[in-house]
Amino acid sequence: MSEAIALELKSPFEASLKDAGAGDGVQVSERRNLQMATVIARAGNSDIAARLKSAFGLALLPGPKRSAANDLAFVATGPRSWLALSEASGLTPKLREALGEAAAISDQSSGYAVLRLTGPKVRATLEKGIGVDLHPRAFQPGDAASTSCAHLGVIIWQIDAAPIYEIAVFRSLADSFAHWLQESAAEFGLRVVPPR
Amino acid sequence: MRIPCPFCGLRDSSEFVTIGEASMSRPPADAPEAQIFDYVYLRDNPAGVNQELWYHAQGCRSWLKVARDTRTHEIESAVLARGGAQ
Repeated sequence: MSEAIALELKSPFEASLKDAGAGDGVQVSERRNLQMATVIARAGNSDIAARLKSAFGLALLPGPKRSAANDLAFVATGPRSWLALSEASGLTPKLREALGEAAAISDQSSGYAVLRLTGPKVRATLEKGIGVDLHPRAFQPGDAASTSCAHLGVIIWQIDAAPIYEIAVFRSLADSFAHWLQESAAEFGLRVVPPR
Repeated sequence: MRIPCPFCGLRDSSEFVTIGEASMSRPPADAPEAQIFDYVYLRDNPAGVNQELWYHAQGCRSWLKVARDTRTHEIESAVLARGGAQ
């Protein structure tokens, strides 16, 4: 009766994300084993930055930015909300312990899927679906944006000037996003590289 | 039309939804019917600068108070509506 069910980690992109076109214009890899949580400041609470600083050494930047310390990253998604990401286990309990009643924390580890994109044609590909200006004069490493890509809600942030971008999409929309990415990057060549 | 979201920066209006004038405030439950009618149905619809509420649904999910010229779509200001639209 009480036989344990073995839960297996499945990639939302495994079946749908494939190489497309000829060339090496865009490389994409899935970020697997990511722990994620949304953090929303409770009304009247303004000491989240101080709590993050003392618990994780993380300096929370104001505005639409990605703030990171060691393995933990906070991507701002609104004036009082963030998507927290970490490869270490137990992210949600750690955040609950550090932030206490200052924030509402919801585990999203199985809610979002994250892709890392790079290559000489990555910006030319992304601008087919994203309205935000990703040119270096407007969007730089550390910048983040909540927006839509081909009508799919996405959170995008830039890691470095190579450029490397990461994009979080709702896991249930992973197939649709993979389809859009393949169609849009095909003219430059899309290469799927092993997950990191 | 693009809206200068105070958090996200300049974004296309397709990321937003609007519910119209920001100047409305809900009358008390025991207000006379005429006042409720005014609140539900009557709008000034000015030819000029209009104070409107816009929700950044595909962005930071904030309500904004936007001053928009209805003749030109020129936007004078956009601020977070948090703390009340008035």
